[in-house]
Amino acid sequence: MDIRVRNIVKDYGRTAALEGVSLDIASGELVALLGPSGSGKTTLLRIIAGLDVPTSGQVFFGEEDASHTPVQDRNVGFVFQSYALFKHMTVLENIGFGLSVRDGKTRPSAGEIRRRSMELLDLVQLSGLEKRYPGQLSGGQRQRVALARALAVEPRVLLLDEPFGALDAKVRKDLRRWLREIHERTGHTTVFVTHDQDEALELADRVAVLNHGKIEQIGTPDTIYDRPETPFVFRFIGESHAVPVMVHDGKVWLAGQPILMAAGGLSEGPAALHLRPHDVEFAAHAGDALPARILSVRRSGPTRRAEIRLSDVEAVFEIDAPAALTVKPGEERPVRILRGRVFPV
Amino acid sequence: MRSVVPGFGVALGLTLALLTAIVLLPLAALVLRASELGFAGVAKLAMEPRIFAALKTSFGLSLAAAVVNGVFGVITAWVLVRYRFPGRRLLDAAVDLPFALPTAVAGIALAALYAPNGWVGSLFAPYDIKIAYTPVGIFIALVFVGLPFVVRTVQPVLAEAEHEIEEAAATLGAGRIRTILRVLLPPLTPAILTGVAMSFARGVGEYGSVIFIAGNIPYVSEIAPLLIVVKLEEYDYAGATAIALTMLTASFLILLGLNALGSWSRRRYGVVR
Repeated sequence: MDIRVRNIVKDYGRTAALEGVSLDIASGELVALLGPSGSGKTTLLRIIAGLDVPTSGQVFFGEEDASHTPVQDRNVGFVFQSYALFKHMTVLENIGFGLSVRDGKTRPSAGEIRRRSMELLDLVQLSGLEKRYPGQLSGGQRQRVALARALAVEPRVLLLDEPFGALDAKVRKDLRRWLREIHERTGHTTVFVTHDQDEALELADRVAVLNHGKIEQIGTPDTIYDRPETPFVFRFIGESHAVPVMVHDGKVWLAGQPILMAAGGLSEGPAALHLRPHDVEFAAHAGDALPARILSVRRSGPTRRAEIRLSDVEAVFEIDAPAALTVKPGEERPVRILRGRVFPV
Repeated sequence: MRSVVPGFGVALGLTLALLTAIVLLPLAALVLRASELGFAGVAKLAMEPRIFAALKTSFGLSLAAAVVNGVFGVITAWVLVRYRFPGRRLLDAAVDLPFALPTAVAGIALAALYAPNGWVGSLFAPYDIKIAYTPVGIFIALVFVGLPFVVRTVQPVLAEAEHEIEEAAATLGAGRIRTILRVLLPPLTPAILTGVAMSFARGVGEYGSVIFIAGNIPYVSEIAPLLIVVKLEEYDYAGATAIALTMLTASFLILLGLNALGSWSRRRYGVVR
């Protein structure tokens, strides 16, 4: 089932949580809503589910305008951040709940509900735990029960709010891969909310980056990472630093020197050069490089992360250098900028 | 095993000493006194029509009031926990009034309200319905004194319940009624049962607020605690003791039953861990 969201506006009193958001999600797609807290991502998810009512705007499920369909009738699978399991029911009863509350004719028989619940329990790899209560499960197991419960109603769309938010790092990684597998096997259109960029980039087919109630950019993980369209996306995805530059004569000037790419499309005057740690390298000789002083060095996995200050401008940023290269704090070392993005300020 | 917080021995000793001096000793005296009558003697007195009628009135109406409180107490707790409205704190405080008010004051106020010439009583008088000076009046007084018990036991449990479980039930297609019956109420059952048990216990022992509104007509609206006083005033100590012992036994058994039901539902519906 494809989902279209049209010009959703949501006001909470005076503050706007969403300011006209539109989003198309193809059938079977796995989309991440990524943004800092307060960006409106959870509100958007809840509006798609029907748990919140937008101030204006529409939500379409396929051709059907679901804007005024109550949540009970939308047939969505929603996984809450806190899982919201029914603590007084066993795992099996939790999973079968959605089927057991159906009205008369559409309700499967008790045996059928049990059979389907067991199947889902198997899908989420929790066979053997059907008689347990949620309180007797670990966080990761609860998460799986919540997902199985949401899948049991054969939802038109699966919505997950910070699905791995409450889990520790190791479990998160395992569940991430596992959720991807489940998605590939069941083929549900899936939307999940996260503030974790790694999670979004690794898991999703497309990522929508939200900020202050607006979608800044939507695209594949590659597009989002390699071609960020706004300074916010650049800053939010991956590590980055901004350095003040000047645009003049079709060139970008840093500390009085023209650097790298042509400043196509940029207006004359001050701008900001956004850099990632691997966009800059230490130069062997001064030549066309920029003089810089090393402030501190620390080991970061396979590379050495150096914090440097450009000598001619008040700019501090970080560089990834090969671990083999020994640099010491206080040393003067020229650096060369390999790439970067210039945004107007 | 050594505990971080020592003092089990001292604490248990103190508890037992206090419990013995304040609770067990008077009860033991009562039993001792009644033993002079013998089991058959107590049973014979308890089955005496006037006493039996009073016991029936006391236990029957207390149970009915406790059940009604179970329903309205939960609704009251729900309103106090879930909704924000002007005057909520005031209402919250007012729930405790039946605890704090001298029972005689409550009784006189209720009697004045429900008497045939009172504000409420006068509304029913034209239809020949009497509230005060009948068992209905007793029932109302018992509902009044018992309500806070249910509200105060259910309120904290309800406050801790996640709001999201209702939303989860809704996304799974459950309507309002099903959500209440299958998702919200079961975890509250132990607390509700505890509240009802306490409300019942209070009702059985209630004296002050009842006697003013009851009319105290033998065989009709006479409660057992009042009958004890009557017997004492007649110097019929054996009769008074017999009623007291019967009440003690019955109360103990009923409370034991309610608590067993409570702990069963705690195991069934309670939160593990």
